[in-house]
Amino acid sequence: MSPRLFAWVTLCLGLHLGCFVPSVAIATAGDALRFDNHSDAVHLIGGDARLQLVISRGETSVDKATSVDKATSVDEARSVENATSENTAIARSRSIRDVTHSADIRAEPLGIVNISSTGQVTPIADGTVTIIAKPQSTDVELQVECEPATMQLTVSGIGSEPPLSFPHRIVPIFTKLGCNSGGCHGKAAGQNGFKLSLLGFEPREDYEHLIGESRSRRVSPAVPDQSLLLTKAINASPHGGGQRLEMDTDEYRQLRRWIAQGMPYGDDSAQKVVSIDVIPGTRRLAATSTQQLAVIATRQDGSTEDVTSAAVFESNDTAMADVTARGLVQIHDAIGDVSIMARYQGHVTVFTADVPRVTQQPLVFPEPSNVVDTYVFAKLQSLGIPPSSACDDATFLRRACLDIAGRLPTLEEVESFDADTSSTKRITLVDRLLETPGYADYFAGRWNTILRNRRSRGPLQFSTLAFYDWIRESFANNRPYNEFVKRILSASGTVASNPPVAWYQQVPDTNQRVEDAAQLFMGQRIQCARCHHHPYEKWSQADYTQLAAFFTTVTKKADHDPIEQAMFTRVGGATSPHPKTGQALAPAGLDAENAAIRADDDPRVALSEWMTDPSNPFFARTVVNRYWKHFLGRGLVEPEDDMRMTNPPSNPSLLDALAEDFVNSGYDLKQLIRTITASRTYSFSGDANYDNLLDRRSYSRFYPKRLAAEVLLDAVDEVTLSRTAFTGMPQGTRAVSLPDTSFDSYFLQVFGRPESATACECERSQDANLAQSLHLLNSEQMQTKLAEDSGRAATLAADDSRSDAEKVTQLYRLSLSRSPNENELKTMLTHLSSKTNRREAFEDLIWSLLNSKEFLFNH
Amino acid sequence: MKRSHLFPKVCAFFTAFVAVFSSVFFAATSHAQFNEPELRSLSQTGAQIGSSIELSVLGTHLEEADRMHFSHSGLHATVKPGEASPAFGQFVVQVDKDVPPGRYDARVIGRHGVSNPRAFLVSEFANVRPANVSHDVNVPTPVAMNSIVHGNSPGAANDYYAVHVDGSGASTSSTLRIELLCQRLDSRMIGQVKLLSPNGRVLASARGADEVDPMLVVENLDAGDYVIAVNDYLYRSGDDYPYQIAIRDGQSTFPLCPGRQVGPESFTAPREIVLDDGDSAAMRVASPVQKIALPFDGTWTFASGHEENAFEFEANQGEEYSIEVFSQRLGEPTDARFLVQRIEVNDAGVTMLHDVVRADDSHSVNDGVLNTTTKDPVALFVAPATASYRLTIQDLDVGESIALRQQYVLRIAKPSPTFELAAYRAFPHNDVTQSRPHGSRLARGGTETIRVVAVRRDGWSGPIRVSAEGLPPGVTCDRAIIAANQNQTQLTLMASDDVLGEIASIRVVGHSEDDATIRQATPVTIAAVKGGNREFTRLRVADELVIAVSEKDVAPVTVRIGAQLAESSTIAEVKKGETLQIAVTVNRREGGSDPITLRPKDLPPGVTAPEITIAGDKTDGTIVLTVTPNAAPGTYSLWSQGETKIKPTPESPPLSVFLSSTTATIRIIEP
Repeated sequence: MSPRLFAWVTLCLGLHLGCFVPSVAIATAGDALRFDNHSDAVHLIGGDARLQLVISRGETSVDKATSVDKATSVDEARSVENATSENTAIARSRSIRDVTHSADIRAEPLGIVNISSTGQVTPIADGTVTIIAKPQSTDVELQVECEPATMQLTVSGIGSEPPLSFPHRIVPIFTKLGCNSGGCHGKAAGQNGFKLSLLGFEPREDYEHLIGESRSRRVSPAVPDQSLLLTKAINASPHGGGQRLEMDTDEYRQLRRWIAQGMPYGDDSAQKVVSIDVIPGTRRLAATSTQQLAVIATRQDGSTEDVTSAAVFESNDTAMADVTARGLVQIHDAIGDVSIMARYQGHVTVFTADVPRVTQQPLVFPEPSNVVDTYVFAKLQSLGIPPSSACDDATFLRRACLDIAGRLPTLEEVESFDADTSSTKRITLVDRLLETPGYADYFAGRWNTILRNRRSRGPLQFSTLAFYDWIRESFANNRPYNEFVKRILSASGTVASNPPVAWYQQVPDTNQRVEDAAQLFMGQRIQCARCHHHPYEKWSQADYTQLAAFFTTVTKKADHDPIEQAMFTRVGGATSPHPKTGQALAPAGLDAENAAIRADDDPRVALSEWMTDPSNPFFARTVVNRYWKHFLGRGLVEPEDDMRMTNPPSNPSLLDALAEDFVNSGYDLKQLIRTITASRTYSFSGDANYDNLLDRRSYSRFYPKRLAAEVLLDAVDEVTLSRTAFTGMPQGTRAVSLPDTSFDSYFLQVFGRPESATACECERSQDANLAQSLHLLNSEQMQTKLAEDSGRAATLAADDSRSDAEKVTQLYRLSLSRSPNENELKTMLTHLSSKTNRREAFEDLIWSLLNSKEFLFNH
Repeated sequence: MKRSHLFPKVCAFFTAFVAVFSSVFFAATSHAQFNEPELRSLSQTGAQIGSSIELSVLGTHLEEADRMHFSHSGLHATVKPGEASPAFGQFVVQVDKDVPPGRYDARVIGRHGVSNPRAFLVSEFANVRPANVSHDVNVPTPVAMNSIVHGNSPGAANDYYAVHVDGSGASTSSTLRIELLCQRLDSRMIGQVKLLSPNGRVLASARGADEVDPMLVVENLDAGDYVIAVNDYLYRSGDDYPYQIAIRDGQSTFPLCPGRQVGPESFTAPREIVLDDGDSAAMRVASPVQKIALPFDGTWTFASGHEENAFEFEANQGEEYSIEVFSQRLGEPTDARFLVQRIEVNDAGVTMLHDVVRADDSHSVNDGVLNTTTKDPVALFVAPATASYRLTIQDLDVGESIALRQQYVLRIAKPSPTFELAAYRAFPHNDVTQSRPHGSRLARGGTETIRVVAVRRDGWSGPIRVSAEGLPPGVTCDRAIIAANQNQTQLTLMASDDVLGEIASIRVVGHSEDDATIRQATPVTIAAVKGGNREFTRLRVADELVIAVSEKDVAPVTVRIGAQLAESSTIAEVKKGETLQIAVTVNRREGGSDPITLRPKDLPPGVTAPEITIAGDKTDGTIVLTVTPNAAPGTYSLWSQGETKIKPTPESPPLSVFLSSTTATIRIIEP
């Protein structure tokens, strides 16, 4: 069937779609208005065709600030960096403005198309028209300055009503309306007896369910309006999902016509969508502004079509921007960047916008220390966000100790760091901390948790301890990260000899293994693709199955302990059947060719080689992003283990540069930490200034982090001099040194210690809540610690060798790594002198310090 | 269907004897077995050559323990004198000067017989046991270089010792060799040892595992005081968690124990095979491929990680070889697998490999307690053509946490069909998972059982006739047959009514039908029961199989079944597809009048027999064997496990006991 017979909206541009996508870096429209989604002529075929106009007022200059975001190499970024100072004002005043909803738009001659106030064009008769967009008549300035924009549009096929295709016309309506979402009929069991495939990935099955089930009452060709499909959608019949549709809409009319046509299934191949693009792809926008988007689908036969009205939009940061169902982006009063995902027929694309601060004041940045600063400063420069000043030494010492060793600085460290006048003392501090047992303890614990190393039964378990020790030793000895991952992925043997085998014991299911490995080491959450095409990524079930095939020969062998069985690879071809077709698929990495693996080889060796190869686009980026979040409080990609195309990094150049630096270092994790912590960025104060208060994504300041549960408990123990006992562990064991998360502790639980049940960092909560406050303020545990006979308060009260001022100062330096200021000291001393019970008085002082935000946060 | 009758004319039956048990005999037991002594631990697990030490024993049913039995005659123990009577359970042990260093078995003998063995280490070094061991790293307990320190796991803590190292640089005196012995001493402890520098920094650490003890060798130490930290890896403790820590300088490199502690499966590794302990082995990695000539016997080191180890050899069509790898059985943390491929170079000059034989785990026999399976591969190779062959060996255990370098012995030789036997005292219980260390006490008229498993090598397929030798006077044991299609059997020792008390080290021997092959069984003992978060029963090779005969006790119940396989007796024959009745006789005495349930065991494949119950007032019964047409012809031995209750005294509550019948032998023939 010819495409002309379909009542589709088809944009017969005859050009490669790339021409459609405007480049922000090459804005050529001058001060004139322009149609962003038009280059030459547009052809709408049939009455269902729609065209969403995107009209903007452009600029004539090169947008260097934006090109920083697009820079892919360090050199490129540096060259831009050199240019940014002088162009600051320009950069902040040259936003391209979307005027789609404010322009006066008309078509000449009349009667060929209707144009709504939102810029949607609806054909009503065959013919050719000129669409003219002018600034609103009320906008005198624009009327004077701007040339109107024009475009030619041809309409044909009005009056012919070709059959509507179920997979290509009807299913997208279901998706748009949310009918086939995971919370409704798209869930595995369906909803109230009606099941649709999730997001319409299985249209043939959907068709059978819709037409064949429920005694065919869902669709009635004889009386289309009585079809349950329609009566439920408009809520004329009871519908758990409520009203999803108005009668006077294109969607209702299309559904009705499809039913009246006898519910044809339609062509299944030629009109298949092969890609979609959003217009514009990226744009610099002002706070509180709007931007209309248009989505263009390219079909198997090469034709293109505006599918804006059928696409689904979603913002990745609703604090930055919202988006309507029709693709209108509303930027909030914020600065930074935001991404809007558009999805249609299993394909996704992203519109990204950055929102600079409006100011004419020149920005001042310190000299960059390393590649981190280069890209962070460039981003801040681009957005017009001034950085906070550098933090003081005491803050840096506390910050570095907490971030690297998971503990407060000792009194000796506070004093020696204070006394050190060296200009390199911060670097020296980091180097020293990286060599302490605390570093290995802390990072082993973090990795141990997401590697799901948790005992399955009561007392301490050999495999848990062995794996924890192996992880810890890896960090203590700075085992290269690629080697660390290889050893885990290809672990074979007994847990006694080869502790990473425990990962296979803890993650016993092939699906869990492939999903954990992808999420942990590549930041890919591919579990969706186990059952259907990934809704937010390009990964198909075949991609998932081929990745899983690497694990299909893993089996276990009885060893001494039936629970701690040995793992190895059996002889045989590693293949995995496609869940739909049953076809045996060979192992392959994501976006990789099939791996050639002999029957005797361990497929996981090939997997680990592919995964850790420097050319793997996911591997290094994932771990540097993970570490970036650990130190800076927010990932360049957030969440840090969800690095999908539709969730782009806030500073892609920085992510690329860090990954490249990491690979070049030989996957040296300590070096990665040195790079991050040696940056000026890491040393920014946590205090916001007036102009960067709104920044949440660009690292203009240090974002304070509540101490992790284990770190906080250790800190409380240290300040109160009261060690928490953990069952089965030697007295004095720190919480950050525990070999798993199974130790019973209400404190750790209430402060968000993860269960280690999944590979997701999201299990760990660092949010603050009322239960935490109450526990710190007035729990029996805290009172016991404060009042312990051998505790800090009792010790200080009994110490007659020092003055109260000295004791208060010590308490401050111990808990906050700084001395009290004059007011604080006076207040504390006043309290001490006001109470006759000295021990209680010191308990009060310590209590107040422990409950201060300054103590609870790494700032 | 035709039945055969063994009793009373054809077969000889056993009589059962019932005796009154003394109250002491049944004291302190909740589900009575026969109260064999269980030696849980020794207060000191070793001594210096030529020294004398005091030790005490801990365990159950060790009443009136006044003697010890060692597996070397140069070890002597005398019970310490007490005020009114000997201080039972407390001994002075003398180690003669001519006792070679090494590990020996120590047993305790008391009122209830002889106990299971516990390891006793004899060495050239001074043995010390500090009165108090510090758990504070800042005040470690001082110990001397070249000494062995005895201790017990401190639980959720560390034991800290301080040792002074002389010299510096590369001299031997600057080397510290720390060997923690736990598993090799039958301890439940999984050892972990760390060496801390004078400033408290961990310089080195090592941990053991099940059947593995840790060792540290730290070189080039500066002179100074170092701290050694010792703990159980799971922070457990108890009197069955003893350890010894041998602290030596670089001049003492010889092993304290011969080889590593290994599991019972090691009995299939010839004792003459030992691993190289020098650097030469480290250089011998068969990667790239090594050319070898057959027969071949050599020691190699596995290539690292997942790399292959490859050999090429020539063989003529039809030649047979036994290819065997010895590694895991020698104590290495390995899991080898090999593949032999024929090499063919086609006309285009392309090398093609054709699979011939592949081998993985081997020698697999598992009776629920003793598992002889080894991770070492063995296979018979028959050359399909005169050609070159490639042997590729993979180590599936690529870990390095126990040993960085892992060795193996590759032996390729002409096949030599034979068998290996292992024997252990079976714990009398119907649930083998309840097996635990226990000793021997053969009462008058009573029985004890010895479990025997056979591993067949190089295609050995014949039956094995198993018997016990070295039995004390008055103790008999019927021979048993391990048929060609079986790999285990049971021997039942039986004491006469008037047997005299004695301790004897006996032997279990297997003969081929033609007596051309005779093999003595390797004794095995249960070292530890499951528990302490280790969910398996641990066994080890023992030095001897020791039994005790008690003249003070009389067995309450004895069950005899079927024909006694005496030298000249007939063997009951039964045809396939028929049934065979085996008569049972139970002798009861006071306290043994409960019903007894008998469950036939070790039935041949294709033979079934339901359990029977003989009422309390009856002494006879019949076991009916149904021989299906699928049964394989051959000679088989079977026995029956009895379960009943006895009353030690008229006032005592009944106690459950499990006992073994004598053995009967049948021959299945074609119809």
